[in-house]
Amino acid sequence: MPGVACPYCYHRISPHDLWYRCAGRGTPGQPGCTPEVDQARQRETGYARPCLPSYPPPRQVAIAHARPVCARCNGESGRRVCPCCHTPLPTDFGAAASPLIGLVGAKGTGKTVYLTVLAHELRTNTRRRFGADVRLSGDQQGDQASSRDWLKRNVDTVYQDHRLLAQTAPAREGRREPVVFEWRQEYRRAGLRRLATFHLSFYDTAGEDLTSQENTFDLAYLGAADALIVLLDPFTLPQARDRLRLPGAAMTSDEAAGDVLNRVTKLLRLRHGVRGGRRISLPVAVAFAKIDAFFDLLGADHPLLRTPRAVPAYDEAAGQETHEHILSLLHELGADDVDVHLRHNYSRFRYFAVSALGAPPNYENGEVDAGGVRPLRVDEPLVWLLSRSGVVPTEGKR
Amino acid sequence: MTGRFETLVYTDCRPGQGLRGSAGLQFQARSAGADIEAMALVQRTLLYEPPASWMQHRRPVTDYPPSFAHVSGGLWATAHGVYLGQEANGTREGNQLTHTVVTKDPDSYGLVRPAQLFGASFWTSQPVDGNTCPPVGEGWEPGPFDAASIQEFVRRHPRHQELLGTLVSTLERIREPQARRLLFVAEQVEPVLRWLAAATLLLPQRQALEIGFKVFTTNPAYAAQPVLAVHPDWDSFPGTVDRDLGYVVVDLVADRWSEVPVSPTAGIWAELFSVEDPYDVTDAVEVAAASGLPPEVAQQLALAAVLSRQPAGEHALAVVSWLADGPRDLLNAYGVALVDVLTDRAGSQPVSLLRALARVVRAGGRSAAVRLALLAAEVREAAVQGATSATAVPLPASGEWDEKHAATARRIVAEGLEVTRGVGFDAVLRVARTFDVAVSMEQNRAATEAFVRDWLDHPDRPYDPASWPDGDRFVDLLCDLLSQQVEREPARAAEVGARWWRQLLPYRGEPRNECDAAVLATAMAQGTEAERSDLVAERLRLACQDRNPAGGVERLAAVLWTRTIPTMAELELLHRYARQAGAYVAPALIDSFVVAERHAGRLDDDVLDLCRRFRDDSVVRRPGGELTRLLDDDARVRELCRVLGGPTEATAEVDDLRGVSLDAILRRRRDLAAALRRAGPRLALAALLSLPAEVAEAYVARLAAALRQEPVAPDLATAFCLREPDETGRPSSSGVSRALGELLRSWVRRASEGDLDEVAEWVCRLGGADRRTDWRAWAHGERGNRWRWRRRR
Repeated sequence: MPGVACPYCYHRISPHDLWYRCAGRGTPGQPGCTPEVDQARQRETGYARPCLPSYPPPRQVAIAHARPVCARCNGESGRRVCPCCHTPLPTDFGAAASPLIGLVGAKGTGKTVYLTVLAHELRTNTRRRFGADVRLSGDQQGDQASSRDWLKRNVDTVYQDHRLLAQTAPAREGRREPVVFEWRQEYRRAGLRRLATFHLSFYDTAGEDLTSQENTFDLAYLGAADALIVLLDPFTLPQARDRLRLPGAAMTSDEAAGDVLNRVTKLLRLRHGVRGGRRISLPVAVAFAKIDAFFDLLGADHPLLRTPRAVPAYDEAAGQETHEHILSLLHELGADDVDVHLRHNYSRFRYFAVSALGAPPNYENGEVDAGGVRPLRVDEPLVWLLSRSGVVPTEGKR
Repeated sequence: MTGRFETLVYTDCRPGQGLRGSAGLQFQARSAGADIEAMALVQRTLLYEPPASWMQHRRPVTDYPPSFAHVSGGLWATAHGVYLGQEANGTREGNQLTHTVVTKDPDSYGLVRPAQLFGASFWTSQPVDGNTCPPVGEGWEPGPFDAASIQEFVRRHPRHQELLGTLVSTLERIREPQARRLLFVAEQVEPVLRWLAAATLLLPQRQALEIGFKVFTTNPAYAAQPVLAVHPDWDSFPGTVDRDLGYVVVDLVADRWSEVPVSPTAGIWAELFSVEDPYDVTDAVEVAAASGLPPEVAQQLALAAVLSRQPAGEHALAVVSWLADGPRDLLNAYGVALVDVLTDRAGSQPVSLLRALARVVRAGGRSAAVRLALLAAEVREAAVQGATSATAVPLPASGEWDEKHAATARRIVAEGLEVTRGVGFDAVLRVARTFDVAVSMEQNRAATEAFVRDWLDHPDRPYDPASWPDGDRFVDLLCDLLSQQVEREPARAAEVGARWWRQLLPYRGEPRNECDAAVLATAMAQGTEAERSDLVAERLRLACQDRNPAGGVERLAAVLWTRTIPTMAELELLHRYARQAGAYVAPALIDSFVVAERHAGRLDDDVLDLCRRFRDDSVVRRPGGELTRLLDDDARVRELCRVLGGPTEATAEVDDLRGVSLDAILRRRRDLAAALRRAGPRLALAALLSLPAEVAEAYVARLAAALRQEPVAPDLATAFCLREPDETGRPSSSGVSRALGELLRSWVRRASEGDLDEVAEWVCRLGGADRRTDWRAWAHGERGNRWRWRRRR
């Protein structure tokens, strides 16, 4: 799809045609603009608080760092906004790949915990591994529930309070605030070292939103996603449940992972205009969640339970090996229908095994294992997706 | 009367428990009429929002306040939510239950404001059995937030009027584009809803129904409702009263709120709500909304209709106008009460209001009071200002205005007349006339006399006695005074006339005194031709209708032309009416006319005819010298004309014209010329010697015409004698000589010798042999010239 998707309204926009938000400073002798409710922003994102007006750049201002003048108050501004929803965008947004990554899975799969831990890993271990400068990006858009607050609270809950997170409320009008990370990294091109900034926008999805096709179709952000991380809850696989002897409290949903995937597939086919005879080209990382529950079942030496090599690239060989192991596990647990569905519908997908907490929590009282959070392979799906987008290199290609 | 609601229950469900069948947050149950549209609206806007921070710290469920929300937009839905803690099928926090009542018919709310539904008995906090929940049936009762309890709550706040005014002002404009949203900061839902109930009770119910609210929300920026509440411990809102982020912030915890300009209506509603019966106030709010008037006027109307409060001055007029064209149902309900309020203090109401009121209130038992109040106000204003703009007001319906009222009206006017003078007196009289109230001059004798004396001293005051009751009587009084002046100083008659004729003329008919005479004479002297004509015709006609028409016409004729000369048209009228009335006209009047016409050179047959009729019809008993001379001279000239045409010589009569005025002869010169032509050449030539040249010219003109038509010898001879007179004849004027010379010359050149001889004989007869010789010489001379002329050719 051309252009980049706005993380807030999900419309495809050209990075060269971004609008500007008035700074409200005016010019000597002329007062600046005052905040008012932006109807376009309210319509597209639901944001109803007054904000300064937005305006398009003049045609001749196409060069970077230009500071076009507000037609109302003549004040200069360099703050760029989405031309559709007028939401402020991070500086350099669109200059490089800025994928929207949707996180989907059945209710109770642990999507929010996974995203919380992944976000924490991005800012700590993953950042160090790739020598990248990774920061939360974007302004606080709402009065509360900004991504920064959301992440901080969730990280505190999981890492400090050692508690599981509350269930995620369904999306309002198919919209959800993204968690946007700015990934700034040096790379080589034509023998020269260059810097590139990528923006990664993650969307947590409430399981309830994927329990019916109708609800799924309402998830606008999912239709605009550039990549998907599908979390499979092994607890929804009957054979896994039997072999793991899970407590009742761990079983929050009986929604089959395949059903959720099927609904998402229909949505993507519809939104991307992919006919039945073709496969969806969207890269899909299918993560087998809560792999820590299989420690006993698989044995401590199982390759899936080993911590992968921390190289500043995606290890294609190791990834392929993991893919095969999960595929095997799916067959073993009678969930091969998932693989069949993926093969018939997606041209690029890969299996991963992840454990956000590193150990099974106490589902009865909702507490994390006393040993704390010890994520396992949490960032692998993301790194694979980033390698697909060229954000990180790939090594060990077969 | 409240109506039916459909209902919806949304909560976290176990597999199979909810409408979707799967586990998770969803609609657990719905009543039969609750459709997908309602579900979408509820899910979008009304669900309980658990605070993440409290869930993080696992606060006891009992700590969580309930939520209460309302939304409109094709559907009207109100929801009550509670936090339930752990999910239905697990241990995670975040479970809640939202019970919603929804309707497509706003009448379902009756007159209840949405905030008043809080605490109603139909709310549930638990999932229902099965997937069908009962609707809320008609006749449901709202919660405990009735108007009385809300009033009590509001009164407890030390600055309740200020806060309530702020809230109402904000809510009045809340649906306008770019209006600031209202955000409460509170720890409990009840105080927010009580204030909200109070404020919405002061808005029309339908308007209140359209104002969505949500108590509480965790993210106001993305909430759809314009009225929101946040909990101070939930980190939902980074702003404060001082940094309001575009909201109108009402912090009920800190007891502070944003400064908002309080609208005049909101300020009044807020004040009234704390001091009046709150149900009356809410009734007034509805009446105001239904009135269709602008807000401030509507409020005044409603306060008068419901709370019996006098409308403020600047709006009272609009309130009265509304009585004439307001919605029929409201008029039926509140019209009488409104009139009662407006008429209760009618005595202190401004004139403009009472005028409007009198036009509207024409029945119902208050119309007479309104009319009297208006009359009193008009009289007061007229007396003070010396002017009035009172207009006719229809009398009350039959049976509502009796003699007692009429007597009161007379008393009001009489009292008004007593306290004013001059222009004020005039204005009060005009008011009395407008209201058809009689004025007793006897009762106000002193004031009346003072007024008339003042009028006498100020003739330029633009009074119009026709606009007074019995205005003629005031004019009579004035004329009496003026007459006394003229009688004392007759020389002032002209001055009096000049000053007063315009004002008094319409009121003066038959001249009864010196004043009347002066007025009429001046009117004739200074009026336009049309005014004079109308005056003469009208007054003569009226005089003829008098009991003594002859005397009336004579008196009038004696007055009208004392300062001017009558015109012929006026004398024609005078002649007609005088003859009709048997009146005699003073000879001097006709003589003055004759003299004036003579000076103007207008003594023609019409004038003579008119003058003759005056004499012959005995309208002038003893004709004056001018008239007699005029008619006698004319008679003599006409007699000569008659005689000249007869069979006998009339030379003697021609001589008798000596002493006849020249104008009489000249007036008849054509008649004389014609008579002379008939009399023959000899007599004509003799007579012309003693008649004025103008007569000779008239004769020559006739002679020349005859020569051109058929030249005969006598005429040619006469022409020669007139053109070339002998020493005894009168020299011809150059005109005569030239005209006749051309004719003769032309004839001579063509004539035969025989014709010349025949003319010569006639010349001899008329002037003798010498003249014949002259003729021949002249004729041959002219003929010689002819031959010379031919040879040259």
